Amino acid sequence: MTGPARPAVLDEFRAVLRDPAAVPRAWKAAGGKVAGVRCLFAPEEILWAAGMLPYPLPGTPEPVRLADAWLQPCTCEFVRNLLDHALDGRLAFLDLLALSNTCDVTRRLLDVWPQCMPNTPVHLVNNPQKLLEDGNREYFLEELRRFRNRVEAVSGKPVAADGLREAIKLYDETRALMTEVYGMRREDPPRLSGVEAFVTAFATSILPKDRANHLLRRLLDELRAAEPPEGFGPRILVTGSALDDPALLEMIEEVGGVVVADDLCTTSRWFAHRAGTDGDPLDALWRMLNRRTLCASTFPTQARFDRILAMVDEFHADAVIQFNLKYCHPFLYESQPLRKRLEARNIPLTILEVGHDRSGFGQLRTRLQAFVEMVEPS
Amino acid sequence: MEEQLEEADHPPLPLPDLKVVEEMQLGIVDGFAEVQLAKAQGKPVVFSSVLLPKEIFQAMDVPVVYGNVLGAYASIFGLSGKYCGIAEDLGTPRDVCAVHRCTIGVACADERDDFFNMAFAVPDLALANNFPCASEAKSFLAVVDKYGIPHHVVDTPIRSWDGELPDHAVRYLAGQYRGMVAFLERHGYRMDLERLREEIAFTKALNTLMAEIEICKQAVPAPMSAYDSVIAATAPLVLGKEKRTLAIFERLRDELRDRVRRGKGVVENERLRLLWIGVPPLCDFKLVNYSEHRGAVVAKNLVELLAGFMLDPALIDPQYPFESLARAQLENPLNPPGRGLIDYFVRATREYRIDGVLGAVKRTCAMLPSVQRLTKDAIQRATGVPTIIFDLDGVDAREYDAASTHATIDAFLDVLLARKEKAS
Repeated sequence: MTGPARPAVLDEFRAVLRDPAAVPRAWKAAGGKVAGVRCLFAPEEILWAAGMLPYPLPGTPEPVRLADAWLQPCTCEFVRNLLDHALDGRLAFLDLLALSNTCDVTRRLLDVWPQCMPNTPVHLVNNPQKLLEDGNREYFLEELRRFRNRVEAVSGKPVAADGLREAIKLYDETRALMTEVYGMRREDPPRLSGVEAFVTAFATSILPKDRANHLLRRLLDELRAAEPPEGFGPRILVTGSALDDPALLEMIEEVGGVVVADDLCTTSRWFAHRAGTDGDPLDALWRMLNRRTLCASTFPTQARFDRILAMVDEFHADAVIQFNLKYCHPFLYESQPLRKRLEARNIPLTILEVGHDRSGFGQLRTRLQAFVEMVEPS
Repeated sequence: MEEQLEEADHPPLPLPDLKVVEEMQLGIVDGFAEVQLAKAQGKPVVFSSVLLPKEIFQAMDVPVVYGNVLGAYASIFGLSGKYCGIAEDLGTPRDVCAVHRCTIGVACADERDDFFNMAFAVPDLALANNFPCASEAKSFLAVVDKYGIPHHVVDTPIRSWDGELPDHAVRYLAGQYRGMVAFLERHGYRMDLERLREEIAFTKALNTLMAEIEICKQAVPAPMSAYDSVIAATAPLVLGKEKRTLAIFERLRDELRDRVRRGKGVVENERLRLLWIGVPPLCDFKLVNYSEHRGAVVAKNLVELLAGFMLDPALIDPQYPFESLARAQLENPLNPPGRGLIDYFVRATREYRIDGVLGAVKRTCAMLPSVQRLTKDAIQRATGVPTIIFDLDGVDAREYDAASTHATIDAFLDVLLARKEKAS
């Protein structure tokens, strides 16, 4: 994105992503406990209420080495990369690994992790995959209670209703601020680029939320005061697998696209819904998570498609890019049905299957360039 | 079926070793034909998975096209390249499960081979299931879109809890099965609970019989070939609840008992006993019997689990049909995470007196390859039996290489034989 100076506070978010693990290491050095989190159904609010720092595990674009001995190379490279981090000691600061019932390979970490990291307990929140149903309430609430009990045991601190309500309030504020930041991308031209939005959302997911909220308020102030940037190509929505590296978005914007919206686990999916503080806080978390039909491992699938179509409208997207990590089966199966639904609305889609280690990025640039050139800006 | 086999360009299937298994094969063909008959009578046909409780379908007289069975047959008949290709032309990525690509290809093709014209009927409804992997539920999207049919997903929790199965999980899955019934009732079917209890009692009787058959199969020398075991494990899916089915399996048990009594094995001079823990080579089915030329028998293999017929009879109480089915499914060794499967294979290694384990890794499977290493370690620790882990896409024939697979198995057999010789 060209034009006027960018908000200075963005540098603080960028600094977080240069070494995300510095955040949990600092927390740990101050005497706190840290829980690695993967994916979006292990509620961070419970961890925060127990005084733990939830750390949504990010990967790095390196080739997988040690983890191949545990998970075959035909399985998700992102999960194998995270296991690599564990095996070479980069996650030694974790006091707990909190998993969710999502894709096949994430669920397998429940088997593999205890072999690789026997001193770090692992807990899987066995969330229902079928959401938007009142019928899962009793089951899901019991799973949330079990998670709370486990967190209490690991942290040594009880999670009282009031403390949990406070945590929800803090997280809801983060989600509201992030929604406001993202709302500025609806404008034409958008007030921040796709890469800037990604960096902000991903870094916010990693930071303690009280600190993140402070930075987000500053960002909103600076964005409101800033001159809008200039020079734009077609407006693009990016959806797909877990994306923990801004390189793809940078490439899209370098070849002339403007990423105005993203539907990703590391960005808008984690702040799409708010829990509220009415009534029992676990019930509030259930109400929020029961609406989180944002991962391809959840059902009904149509709800995900509806959200993407709604985002296309809301952010005035001219085209959609579906990014799939190699061997990410849940999202790969959705490619064609998504194409069909977008074609019905005359919205161009390109589908990418990409290695987590950036393999094939050279070819990808050529493909993206051709796609962006083909799309007519509205 | 045999005419089909002649028409397709593929390696020949093995012939059943046991007479009664031949009879099962014919029964399977009849079972497929019944779906067409029901369709012609105007009954809505359901496209579904073998890993949903067939007792519910049978109690409601629902004609079912088991998509994953047809996908497997496409591979068995040497047609995987063709049907995977059709699925890929429709946009299904080549990196997703080859069985489900075959399934999508068969279900969405504009023209099908004769066998599938007989076995496939255009579905009116779809019932998907996320047990035990994502492909089971996600591959349905293509079929649902193709025919514009109503569909419903049954959500099965994984067995993540230590110790006893918690009640909230049983209640949830039982509720999911009731939801499946409600979906079918919305589309014209009626549930007769008494009938469901009968179906479940039948399953219990059949599974008890299957357990007796398994005990026979543990004998040395192995009385049943790997191919016959695969047919016998899948047959109940289509044979239906009839006295004839029980009679067939009683005969199988009796034939096996007779062989055990006489000390007759599937090979003359049994030297090694193998366990197959990956997806079996559907596109070259004779590979499961391949090692027999070296006196090595695959005494147990994974397909017997994949057929969805291993519900533990001890967990089935016909008086509580939905809860029984839920409990049995949650405790199914296939249900992730891998602990159940690993324990099952360790037990099988002991009970079947296994000398070596073949861990075939199918490139497009997200579920089994990630548990192979742990299984290997667990078997080694518990029994000292070695495992070889090797790549084998035995479903998509375009990715299958018979010569290198034979070489891998032969090299492993050499090691096992040398090991045995040294030990004796």
